[in-house]
Amino acid sequence: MAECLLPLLLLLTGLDLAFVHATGAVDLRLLLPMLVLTAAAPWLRHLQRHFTYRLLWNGGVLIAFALIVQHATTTGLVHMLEDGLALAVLCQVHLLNNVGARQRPDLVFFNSLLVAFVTSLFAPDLTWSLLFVLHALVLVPSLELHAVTRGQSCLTRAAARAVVRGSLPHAVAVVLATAIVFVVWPRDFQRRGWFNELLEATQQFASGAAERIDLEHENGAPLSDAVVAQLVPPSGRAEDVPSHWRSTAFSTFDGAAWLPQDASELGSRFATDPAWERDRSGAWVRSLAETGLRRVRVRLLDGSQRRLPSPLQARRVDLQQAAGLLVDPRSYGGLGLLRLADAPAGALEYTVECSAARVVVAPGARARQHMTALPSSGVPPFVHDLAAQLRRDLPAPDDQLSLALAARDWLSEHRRYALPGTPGFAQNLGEFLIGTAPGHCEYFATALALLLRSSGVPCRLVGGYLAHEWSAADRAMLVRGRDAHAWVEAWLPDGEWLTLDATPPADVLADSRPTNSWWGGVVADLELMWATVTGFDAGQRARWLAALVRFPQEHALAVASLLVAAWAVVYLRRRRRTLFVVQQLHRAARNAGMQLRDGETPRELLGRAVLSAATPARLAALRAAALAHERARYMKPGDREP
Amino acid sequence: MRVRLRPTQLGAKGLLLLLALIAAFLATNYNNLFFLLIVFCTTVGGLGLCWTWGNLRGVTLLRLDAPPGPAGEARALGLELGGRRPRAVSVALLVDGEVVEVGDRLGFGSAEPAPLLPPRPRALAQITAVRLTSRFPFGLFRARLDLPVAAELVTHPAPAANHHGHRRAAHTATDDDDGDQPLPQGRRGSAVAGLRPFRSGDSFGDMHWKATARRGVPIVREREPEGDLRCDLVLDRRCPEQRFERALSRLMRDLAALRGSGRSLVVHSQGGGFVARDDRKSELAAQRWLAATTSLPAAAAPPPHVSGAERLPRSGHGGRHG
Amino acid sequence: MATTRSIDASAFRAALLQNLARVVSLPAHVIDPVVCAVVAGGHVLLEGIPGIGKTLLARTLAMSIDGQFRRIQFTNDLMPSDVVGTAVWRPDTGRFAFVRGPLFANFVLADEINRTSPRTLSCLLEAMENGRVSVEGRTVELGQPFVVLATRNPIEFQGTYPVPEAALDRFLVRVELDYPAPDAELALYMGHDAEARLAEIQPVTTCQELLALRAAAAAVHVGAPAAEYAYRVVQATRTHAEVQLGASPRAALAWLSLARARALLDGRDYVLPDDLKVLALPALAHRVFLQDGGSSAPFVQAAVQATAVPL
Repeated sequence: MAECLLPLLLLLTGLDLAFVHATGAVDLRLLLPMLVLTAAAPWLRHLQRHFTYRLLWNGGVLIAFALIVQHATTTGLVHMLEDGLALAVLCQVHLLNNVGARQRPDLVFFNSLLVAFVTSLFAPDLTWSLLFVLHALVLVPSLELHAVTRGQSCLTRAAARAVVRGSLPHAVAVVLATAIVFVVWPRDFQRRGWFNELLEATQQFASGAAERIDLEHENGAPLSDAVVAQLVPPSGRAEDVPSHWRSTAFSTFDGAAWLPQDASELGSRFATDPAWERDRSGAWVRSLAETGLRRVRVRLLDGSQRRLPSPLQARRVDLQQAAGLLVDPRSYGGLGLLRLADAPAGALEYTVECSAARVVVAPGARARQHMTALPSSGVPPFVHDLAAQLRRDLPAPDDQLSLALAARDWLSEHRRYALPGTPGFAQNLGEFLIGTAPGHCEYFATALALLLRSSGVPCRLVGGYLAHEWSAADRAMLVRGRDAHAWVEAWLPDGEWLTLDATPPADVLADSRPTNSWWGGVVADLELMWATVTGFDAGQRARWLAALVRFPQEHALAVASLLVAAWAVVYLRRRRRTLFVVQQLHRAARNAGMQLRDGETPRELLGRAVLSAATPARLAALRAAALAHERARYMKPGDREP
Repeated sequence: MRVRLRPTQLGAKGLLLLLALIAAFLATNYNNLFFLLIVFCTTVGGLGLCWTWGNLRGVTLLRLDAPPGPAGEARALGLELGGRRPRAVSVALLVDGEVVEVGDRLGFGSAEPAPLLPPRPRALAQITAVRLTSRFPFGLFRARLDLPVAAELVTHPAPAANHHGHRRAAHTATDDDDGDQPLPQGRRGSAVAGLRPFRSGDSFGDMHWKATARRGVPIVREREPEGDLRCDLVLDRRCPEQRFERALSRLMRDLAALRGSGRSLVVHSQGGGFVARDDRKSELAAQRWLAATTSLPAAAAPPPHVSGAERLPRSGHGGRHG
Repeated sequence: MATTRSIDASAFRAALLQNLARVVSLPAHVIDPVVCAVVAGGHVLLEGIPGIGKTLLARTLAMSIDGQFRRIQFTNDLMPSDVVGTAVWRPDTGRFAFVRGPLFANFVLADEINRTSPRTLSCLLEAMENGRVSVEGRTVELGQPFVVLATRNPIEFQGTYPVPEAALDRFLVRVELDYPAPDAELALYMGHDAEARLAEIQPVTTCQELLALRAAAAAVHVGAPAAEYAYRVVQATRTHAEVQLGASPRAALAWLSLARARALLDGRDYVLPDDLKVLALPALAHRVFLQDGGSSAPFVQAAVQATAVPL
């Protein structure tokens, strides 16, 4: 392998490390040594001659490999992702350090692509995409340099630079072609793979609500920065958008995970929420008092959502494009969404009308019992102690409302908030409750729910999104994947559902990106743009095409002036380069049906024209043009004027 | 002149990887970024195919100079390609159906080394095509283009070394001296054609003192023009391979010595011979003859008899080695 | 001033061509370069088999210009003194007197120059180059104008000396003569005897006027596009792979001076690429040498055809 390829391979490996880092699954403490080894590769290569070095290196790689495998097998499937990715980058660094006469760089290329593929499943969209573009811009020149150097035994520095320079247009062309195909290719966002179906068939819940909140699992799917939804209040004011948008309600806690309400009821239904009904216009409504109505237009960008997120007080949900969509009204509190095969993929829009009234449902005994059930195991004893303590501190121990509020306040004051992946993050509920480790919203919500149920207050856990990021440019609330949130709804004795969010609000906001800074704004815009690209579906394509067809009709003048301007630019450029007499000569020749051949003088052209079938007038014009040209170009400057 | 394409090892492996990834993509639920990567890989492959093809498409051969050269020595070729300028091609010649690599052309504007033909045995071969292969740009596919050409590749014997001074030291006893006798040159410029008055520029060595004294004006000898000198050699092709090659090398050296001397060399042999003069054309013909000739079995007909001509290989040694 | 000069030149050309046509039947592509070379003040090398009118051409030219004509037949025993002249002892005056050789004429036909020894040839070349000869330590100026029309027989090389490349450069043009066209040859058979026709020739101009024409030709303007065209063609001859030695800057200058003469004879005071194109072969072919020693004429022709004319 030529030495000149090495810098590009280093970059490639560095980008692979960045890919893995973007998933957030692998600890930086593991990635940094790999980065150092990558950066040191040019020097380490010289050591490869020595047997001792090779022994040490291979031994070290084997040990690291064994450690990772051991970690994966002992910790169970929880760290599968982390270990897999660590293994992949370890392989990459090992390959890079062994590239040489015997080890061709082919495997480095392939492994780097594989790392990109694997991380594409977990990394945030925008970060990954930016890394991918960089990756493509490095991969293509390295391939090219590799292809050139395989024939060439050695390449000078200047030649290598020329090759890389020449390959950059290729790289850009590849990226552009990829982008075009990616956008234009009809993509079926709802396509289900047989592998997934096979997996789901073996699962207990085939109802399409397989979501669960698993506390022991360190949140396998990392929170993405992608914009999931845009909430547009017609008023254009941020305060008109409710903050908590529920997707799924969880009512059963099995000690480690929360199961969705509709999945856990096992066939027997009981009333917990006002029922949804379809009105004559096709919208879904439910009986809530029409007081303080607010309307919000929701643009759901994430095509994979299987619920229509809506606030607790949603009164009316009007789905604009109902074709191919099936709304499930029995999804507790909210509306479930099933997409049929012929459903338009991608974004969908609906309008939510919220009431300011309380949501009151008379609780039945079975429902109450279900909502206060605690698992036989998995609840830390500390929960019961704490609940008793809180009840004792209340002025009226039986007032469920004040108990709920006290429990919420206690948690938000005494427990710290942190996102998964930060150092010291709670590994389980016990750690969080005892107070040694910070936790995220699911821990807060679970703790609150357990506290309430321990005191006999019926409640459920709700998963959804917290809308807090106002985009002034779009006049909309942006909801991202990372805004996913969990909170508690308590069912008070009078039948009112009360939203209780124990997560300290300041911490949640501080952890999300500061969107008021210019940088945040740029990132938000980029993400929106990227969301349009990734969500570019058949409907959007049709709209774009229609707009493209309409544009010349609606802006005929603009199009015409644009064409004229383009023509003028081309014409003037050409004209500036050729002299007037030469132009005249060409024109006269064209008029006479002739064209100046290569190596032909104007006089020879004239001679040819005389023999051709040109009319005398044209011939005379050509003669005059040739004479004028001759005079202007060949005569002594002083003699030119006759 | 069709460009032929086939995947390289890297390309084949890449194709397998892509197929595996597509299978994985289809087996699982739709994933946007996974799809993006598959599109990227396919684009690299597709554009790579087009560009590899386009790299050699329309390339023509303007000129191929394969000069005669001595056996066992590499020689530079003159090669000029026309049409589009291909990048990173390796050039090979098809010589009598055999592929001979002659070098690479980077085509990135830097100075290109002239293609170098590796050492070849003495032969008269036909170059049937110039073969260009390139894996540019991505190394996923290899394009091959054969540009037909009809040229003769003359590999004449390497001239014998000229080492009279230390020949005894350099030679072992078994070596014979076929390669060491120089072309006879005793007559060179010695024939006196007549006398004439001295002109400025004449050599004093040519002064005819007797005549000068007789006539009272300086008189010089006028010498015969040198171009008329000729040397006859008879090459007997009935000898063992090694001796035959040595004799050819010796002839090659004589041929080289003709250059600029104004003399001519006539070689007689079985089945014709050649006449070499001090000009390029006859030298080329002689080289061609020397490249093509082969040794004959001992039972073959003897070479024509030419009186006064030197015989090669020397008959005295011929019996000993034959 | 410029106008009158031009009219003189074109009238001269017409009359001269008329005279030539009366005696010899040679195509325009042969006569034109010769006439241009005479006007440009250069020497001419005529190549062709004997008996196709080379001598007649030279004699007609000489008579038309009212100049002195001498012919030297070159043989291998020709001495320089036979060409230049020699100092002869005059018993009556009791001293050496210089007897002028045949070189002292306005038009010298040097027949078969490749037959003479390099020594005599170099003497001729020196005279062509400098316009004067050195005899016995004295320098004697030759007459003005002094035009050498040399002939060389390309077919027969037996007993000839090669004319060195540097010598070829002394000739402004080299023209290859071929058999006349069939109708011209027939007309030749039916016409009068050449000598009789030659006797009818009237001079069209004088030597003095020819010298004036030469001065006028030197003043003809070469514009930037014409110069660039010349450069492009010359460059094309240099860069081609088959060429051993391309046209030198001196060759280009000679070419341009010929083109100037042609432009003048055409009634112009500026050079056109057409002038250059027509004269490329006679001016450049003998100054470009190919690797294999073959004729460079087709190659020069191709270079001219392929070179784009700057507009």
